[in-house]
Amino acid sequence: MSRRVAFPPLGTLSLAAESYLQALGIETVAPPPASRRTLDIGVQGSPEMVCIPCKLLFGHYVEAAEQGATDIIMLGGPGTCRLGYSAAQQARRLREWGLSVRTHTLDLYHVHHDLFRLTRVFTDGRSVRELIEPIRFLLDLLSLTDALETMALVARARERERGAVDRALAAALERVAALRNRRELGEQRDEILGLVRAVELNPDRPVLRVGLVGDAFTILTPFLNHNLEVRLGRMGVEVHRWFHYTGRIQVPLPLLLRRDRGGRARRAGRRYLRRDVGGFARSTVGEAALMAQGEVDGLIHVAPFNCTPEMVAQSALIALQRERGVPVLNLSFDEQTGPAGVVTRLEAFVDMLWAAHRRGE
Amino acid sequence: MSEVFLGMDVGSVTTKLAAVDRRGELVASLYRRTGGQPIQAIREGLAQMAERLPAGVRVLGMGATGSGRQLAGAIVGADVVKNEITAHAVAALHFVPEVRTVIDIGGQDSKLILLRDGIVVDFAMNSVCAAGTGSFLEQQAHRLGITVEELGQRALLSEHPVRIAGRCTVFAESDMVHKQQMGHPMDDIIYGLCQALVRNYLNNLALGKTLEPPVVFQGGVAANAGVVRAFREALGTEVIVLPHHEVMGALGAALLARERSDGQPSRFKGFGVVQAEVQANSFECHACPNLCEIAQIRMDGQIVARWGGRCDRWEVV
Repeated sequence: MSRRVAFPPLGTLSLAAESYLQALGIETVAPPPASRRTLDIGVQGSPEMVCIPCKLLFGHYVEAAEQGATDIIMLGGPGTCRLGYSAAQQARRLREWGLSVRTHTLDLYHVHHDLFRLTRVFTDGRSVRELIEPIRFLLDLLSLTDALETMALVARARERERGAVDRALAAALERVAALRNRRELGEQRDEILGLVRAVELNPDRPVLRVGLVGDAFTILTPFLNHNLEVRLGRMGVEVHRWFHYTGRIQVPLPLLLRRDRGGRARRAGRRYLRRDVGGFARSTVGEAALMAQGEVDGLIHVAPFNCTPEMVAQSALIALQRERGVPVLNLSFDEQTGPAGVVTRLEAFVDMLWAAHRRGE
Repeated sequence: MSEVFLGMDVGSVTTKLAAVDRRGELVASLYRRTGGQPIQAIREGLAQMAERLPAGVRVLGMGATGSGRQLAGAIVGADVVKNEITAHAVAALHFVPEVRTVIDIGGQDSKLILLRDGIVVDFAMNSVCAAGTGSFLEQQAHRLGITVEELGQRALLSEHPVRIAGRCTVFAESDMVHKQQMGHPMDDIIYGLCQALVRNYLNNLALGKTLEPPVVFQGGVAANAGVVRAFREALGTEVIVLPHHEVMGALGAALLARERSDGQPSRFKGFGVVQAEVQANSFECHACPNLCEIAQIRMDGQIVARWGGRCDRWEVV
């Protein structure tokens, strides 16, 4: 039977991953977007104390298998975090549930290595030269989707018509998903970016700037965070999300030549958290420290409930908050979290930032 | 003719109303149970409030807060719908302008608000556990066969409080039963419980925060002298309990409506809304696999509010 590969739905990453696999001539299966059902399956198939991104991912894997995937790419491996072990456990659980799929782990701490390794597995020893073009296509795709999302995160705060930015973003991403190769991408890039750029904004509307730091899975999954980014945008908040795929998957060499934000973040965060404690904790603290240098009015720390690395980061953020006087709101999410508590906290936080803003004027 | 700004705080356990005049002085207030029937509580509360206000009173503005603020806003017509943190901070500042710490413990949630120079600089709310809130104290009072008011008074008599495990209500209860069986005096167990509640509050909400005086303690639980004593001892500072501590949220909402007022007519629908027929129903949306529960509120047959969806589909009425 021919290979049908599935990648879990994780924001624009899955969009790019799918186009990439297709460019390699690999058949793909798109699992349905995260839903109540996905989470229910995930909760059923996971130990109670595991974090919510782990649970949701398991639900995605099961739904991918139901859609007829033969191979599933699993995300895992950020150091000492539980997600590092969960891919192995989840592969086993899938077999226990009688789902015969091959599983492949993409270690988020070794993205370059694993991207290449998995590509080699799926292309069955095709020459490396043939892979260069698709890989460049993947990187360009990610850079385009990052640019689109970054624009939307800022533009939402000033949109004149509620929902206009999200409609434009959806239309743009649909165009991106239809791109087949790097040539098409090059030809249509400006036009696609223009879709979001064309949304009518109100330049006079006073806005706040808030940095979003914390666990990337929770930040990138609106289903888990109760649509945090859109809610903030509509409250008149420009959102600066720390996580961008380009920063992670970019080829190392050009990274050295550019302003290396990752490195600067590490240096800025060293004062508050000296070693890697797994997950995204180190990036959380580093990015928070960078953003606190006047980039934002406040920080929102997003963590899955019970996440050990982010708990450590939270303690480090207390020191940062004290030293730099930057307001920090901690939000933790699990399958029990309802939207009411999130909304109340966000509203109160925004009220608080405005009060400080007016005081500062 | 008298003129007032109204505030309504619809909480999970109790519903509070407050009316202030143009100068921000409290004119009348009301504290009643929500009783799991928020719509009923809003209508009856408003009717009771009308009786406490002079006949022919003019409502210049209306503010709603509490977990049921959207519902209250939709039914009675609010000019301001604000979160509880802001409402409580505004109310505390109104009475104690130099306040630096606000502790609020209600029926099912607790808040901590830190202020500096009259503005909120940090806050926290309990997230996953209700072990430190009013409902639990009430349960325990009931189990011991005394009223909540008595619970506070008995706690003051304690000389050697017993340490009660306060992390979780279930464990606290078994620990209390155990201590009773060991023969500890009831007063000491009760005060031990108050201390456990305070410990739990400080561990959960005050993590890494400095609670500086003046400290204002508000919300229903502030009526409990035992908990006030436990806070005073734990913080090593005076704890201010204001006369209207239980309606501070509503008061804050009224003050926010007053602040907002710019001579424009209020959206308040009038005390007549208590006669309106209010119906709530819900349905499951099948547009995507999320199957959101959408709730809608009808007044005299007209849909006034709809919520519960993860997307915008049903939001706009």
